[in-house]
Amino acid sequence: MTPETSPARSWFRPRTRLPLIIGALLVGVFVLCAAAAPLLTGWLGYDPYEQVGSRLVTPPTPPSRENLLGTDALGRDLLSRLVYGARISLEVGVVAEMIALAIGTFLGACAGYAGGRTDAFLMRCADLVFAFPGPLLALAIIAAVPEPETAPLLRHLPHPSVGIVFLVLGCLGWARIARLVRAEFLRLREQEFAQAAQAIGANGTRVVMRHLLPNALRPLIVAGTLGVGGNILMEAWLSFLGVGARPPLPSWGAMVTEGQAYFLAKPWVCVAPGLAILLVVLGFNLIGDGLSDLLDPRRGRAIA
Amino acid sequence: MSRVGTSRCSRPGGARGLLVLTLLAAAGLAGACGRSGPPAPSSEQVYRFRLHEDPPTLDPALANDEFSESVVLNVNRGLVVLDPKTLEIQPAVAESWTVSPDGLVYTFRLRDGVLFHNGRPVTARDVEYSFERLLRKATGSPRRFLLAPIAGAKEFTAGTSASIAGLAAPDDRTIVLRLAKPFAPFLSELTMANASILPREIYDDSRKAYLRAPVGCGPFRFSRWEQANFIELLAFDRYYGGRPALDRVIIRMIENKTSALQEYIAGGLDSLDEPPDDNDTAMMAKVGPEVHRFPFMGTGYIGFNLALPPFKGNVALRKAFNYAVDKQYLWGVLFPGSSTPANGIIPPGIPGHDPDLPGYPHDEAKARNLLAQAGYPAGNGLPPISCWVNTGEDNRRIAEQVQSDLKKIGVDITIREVDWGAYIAAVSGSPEKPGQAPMFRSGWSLDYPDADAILRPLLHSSNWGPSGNFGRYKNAEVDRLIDQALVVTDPKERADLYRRAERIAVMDDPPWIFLNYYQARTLYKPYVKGVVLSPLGKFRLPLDRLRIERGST
Repeated sequence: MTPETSPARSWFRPRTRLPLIIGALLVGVFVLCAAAAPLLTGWLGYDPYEQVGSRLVTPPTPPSRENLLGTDALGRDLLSRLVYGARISLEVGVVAEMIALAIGTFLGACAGYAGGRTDAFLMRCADLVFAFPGPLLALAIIAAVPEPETAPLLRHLPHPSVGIVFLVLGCLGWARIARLVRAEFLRLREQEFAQAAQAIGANGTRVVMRHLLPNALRPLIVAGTLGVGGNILMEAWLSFLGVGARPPLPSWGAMVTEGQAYFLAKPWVCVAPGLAILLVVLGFNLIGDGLSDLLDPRRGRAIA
Repeated sequence: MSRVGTSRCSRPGGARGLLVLTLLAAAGLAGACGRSGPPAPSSEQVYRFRLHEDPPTLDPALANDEFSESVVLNVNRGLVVLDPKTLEIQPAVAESWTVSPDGLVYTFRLRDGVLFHNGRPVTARDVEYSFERLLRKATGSPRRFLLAPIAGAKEFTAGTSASIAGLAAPDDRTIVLRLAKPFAPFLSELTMANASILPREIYDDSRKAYLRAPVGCGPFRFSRWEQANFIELLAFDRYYGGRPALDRVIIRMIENKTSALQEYIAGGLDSLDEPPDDNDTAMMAKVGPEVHRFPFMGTGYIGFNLALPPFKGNVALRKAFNYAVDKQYLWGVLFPGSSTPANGIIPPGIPGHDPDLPGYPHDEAKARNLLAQAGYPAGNGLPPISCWVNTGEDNRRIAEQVQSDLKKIGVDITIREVDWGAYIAAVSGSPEKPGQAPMFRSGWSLDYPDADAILRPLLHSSNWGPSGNFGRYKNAEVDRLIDQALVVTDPKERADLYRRAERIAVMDDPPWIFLNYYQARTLYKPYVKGVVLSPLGKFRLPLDRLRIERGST
């Protein structure tokens, strides 16, 4: 690895640091919720699928000492559903982004290193993906698999209806990553350390894996972080439209849909999941921005 | 609640009825604000009610929805009329009638002195003309089937015969109808708005002026219609039943639910079909005592696909599902006021409704036992089951509640929420091929108050597919009882046959999870007297018994 500059100094700059810290805190809270969901809900005393409200009162019931955020339209504890919802959101966000990163990095590396026809072909494919309105394409593909519970591959997942969402988002997200990696590679492969490696006889795989890829990691990390936020937003949107996570899974998007009907009379039912979406996406975006400031050598110097 | 009465009658084998469509909230904000209704002098007896939008038609032959019927049933009259309260068939244009012992020949004696609004007396020729008009292909009536039991009706519609063989008017005050085969609900069918008696001189009009200014022999005569604003009816002084108490009826078109409610509270409406939700405490504090609740003729259920495993041939499994669902919670707490828990199929108010039917009260232990008996102890071994609903907040909540109830006995189901087109295709299948949906939420409201209007379309094996029997139920004894009830003429005996058929279908061989009997909720100002809360619903009501009694005047 051949570092181009030392980012260490800029770490101490408050302007760079603050968004990063806030973002990390926000995301940290949700990651903690997701990881410790059973513990947390156990501590709260509620199961996200169990109807806990009195069987005599029409849900949703307002926030109270028993149900800190109230109950939802079926009388389930809203807070414990929100906590479990973090699992779904993060699962979709992270897994979809990993799929996108894997495909995108591989194809982008091929295009950027090989150049020529391979490059032209792969980039036209990427253009094709960009040309489609992403959300609609995702909607169409997911609608084309009406029964994820019985679909091959998907049915082995714990939540098949969530699985189809991250698969589709991942498979549509590669183009963004591929372009980035290709652009980095086009620049890096002309640099002396890459030329030198080739000159001493290193083969393509070695040049890519040992010299080019490590140097392209920074923009990848930034893009990946921002991508997670984007995926979470997209999952919420799909669930809001009713094609994402199926009931009774506590997907935040679906919870907002449910709360819509009570928006004026009982706003907490949709405000709570709405805020959760807002905060976690904000968190990832802040981290992404912060990392990009922190890791980008040129921007670092400009500030200095 | 939007219009329920948009009939979907597809009917090989005599099935008729209409699906209770998802009750979609009417979008759009074309409210009543800034739009003034017609003036209402206070000495007059004026009654104002609301429709969501203009009735599609005021031609009795074409009326196929509750909005049109709300006007037609007051402007026009048929041979017989339904008592909205008791649902008994009462004389109208016909003062009496006889039915031959074999149930084939109906002889009506017309009342003397029935006048059309243009002053001309009604004769048997008008009945002949009106029935021919309904059956004629050129009229394009969606409810031609009402008169189809008359001998020769099919040939007349097809054009192979110039007259209807079974329709005769031996003199000016007698009309004789001969049926091709006995059909017990025939008189009920003649009470429907479509079978109204019309004056030929008005309705034989190439310019179709009657579409905008209908003429009949009912208690109210048509006065004017301002599109998207109001329809005005005036009392008909020479109505055969005596001049109605109301001088004027104003039917106001207000689409938006909130605007209509504001208008009602401000005093611009005397009744309103959409009260605020029971949970809306602020509004209910204002109008709560004016909300009237009453059952109307409709039943909601979750159907099983009986052509496919696991429900095919597995009675214990279907019973287990029935016991698992807590209907009391659904309709008592989750959707208070909109329905009552159903113990069976035939809704209250319909002859044959059985209040003593045990049904399936919520019982988890029983459900678990039956599930084990069915071969799926604690749900183990069940294939994936999806329950289909058409898009709608309430449908989804019902399905989710059922899902959660079934989960408690160990059964996992998934919910498929799709638009109406995809839903009906997946659920109904075709007469030859079963639908793909293993379970589905559906509902049915009756076209006329006769158990035949729900049992035949939904459970008779001749109506597999889109006609109504989506789940492909077939029970030889139920088929036999439904058929037998059609040819028996004694009402008591018929009700008894339906009760027996229902008991078999509910207790021995359940085709559905029996969910709810629909309830109607309507607002009436306290000064409106003579209100009839009818199983016919909120719109299909004769208004000649209403009167306004304000305390001060």
